[in-house]
Amino acid sequence: MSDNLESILSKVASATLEQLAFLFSSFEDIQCKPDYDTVVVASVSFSGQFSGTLSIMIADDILDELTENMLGIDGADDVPIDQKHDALKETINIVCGNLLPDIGGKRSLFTIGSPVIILDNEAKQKAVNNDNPQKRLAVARLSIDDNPCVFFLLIDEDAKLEPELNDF
Amino acid sequence: MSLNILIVDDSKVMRKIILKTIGISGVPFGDVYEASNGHEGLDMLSQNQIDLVMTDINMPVMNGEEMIDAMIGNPATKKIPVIVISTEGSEIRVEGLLSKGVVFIHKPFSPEFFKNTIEKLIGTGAGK
Repeated sequence: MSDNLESILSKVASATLEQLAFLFSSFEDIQCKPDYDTVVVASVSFSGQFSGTLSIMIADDILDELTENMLGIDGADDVPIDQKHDALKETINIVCGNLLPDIGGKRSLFTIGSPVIILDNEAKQKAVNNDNPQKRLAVARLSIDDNPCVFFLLIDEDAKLEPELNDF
Repeated sequence: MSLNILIVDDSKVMRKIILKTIGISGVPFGDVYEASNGHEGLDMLSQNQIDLVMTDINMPVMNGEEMIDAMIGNPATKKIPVIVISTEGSEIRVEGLLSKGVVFIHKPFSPEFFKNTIEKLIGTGAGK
C-alpha cells in the first residue's frame, strides 16, 4: 500500500485501537453498504492549518468489546450506554489527535472539538459520505472479528498536507 | 509514600482508564480525586491535600492549560507536580506546556511508560 492519506489513517487508527483497547484489526478492502441500524457513529471536528471532520463507524458488538477492554471489565451488558458512547468518543478523539500531526506536520496547530455521537440514521449516512465539492474524503476500512470498523476523514479540498501526501 | 492524586479529564471513561493504569503500574496511591474540568480541579485542589495532578488539556469550562496557569499563580499549588495526559500532537503546543514545568504523556499510553514517567517526576522510589 502506498504511503498515502488513507494508509496513514489506517495505520494510526489500527495502532490506536490496539494500544487503547487491545482490539486487533485487519485491513478490509471490501466495500459494503452499512446497515445503519446496527452501527454506531462518532465524529469529531477540527480546525487550524486546515479543517475537517473525522468519523468512526463501528458495529454495536465491537462497541461493547471496545468498552470492556478500555475499562478492563468482563461484559459490557451492565455498562450504561453513555459510558459506551464515552469510550467511542475518547477513541475518535485520540485517533484524531494522533493523525493530525502525521498529515499536517509535527509543528502544525489544530483545535480539536468535542466528539459527538450520531444517532440519527440520516445523519450517520451524511457523516460517512462526501457531498461537498469543497471537501475530500479518505476512508480507512478496518475489520475487527469480521465486523466493520471504518474511519472517514473529511478535509478541505485545498488542505496543505505533508509533502508526501499531496498526490492523494 | 502514597500519593494523593487528582485526575482531571472530561471523559469519565478516560478517568477510569487512568485510575486503572495507576493500579497496574504499581505506583502507591492514597486518595484519588476526580474532576471533569479545570475549574472543578482547582476546587479539589483548594479542598484537599493533593500530591500529584494528572490532567487533560482539551476540556470544557476551563481547559487544562488554564488550570495549570492558575496553579502556577497560586503559592499553595505551584509546587504540585503536574502530568498532562493528552492527545495533543503539535510540537509547538507540547513545548509550550513543557515550559510550564509539567510532564507530558501522549494518549494512548502503556502502563510501563506511565509508571516510568511518574517515577521520573516524583522520584525513583515511586512504585517500590
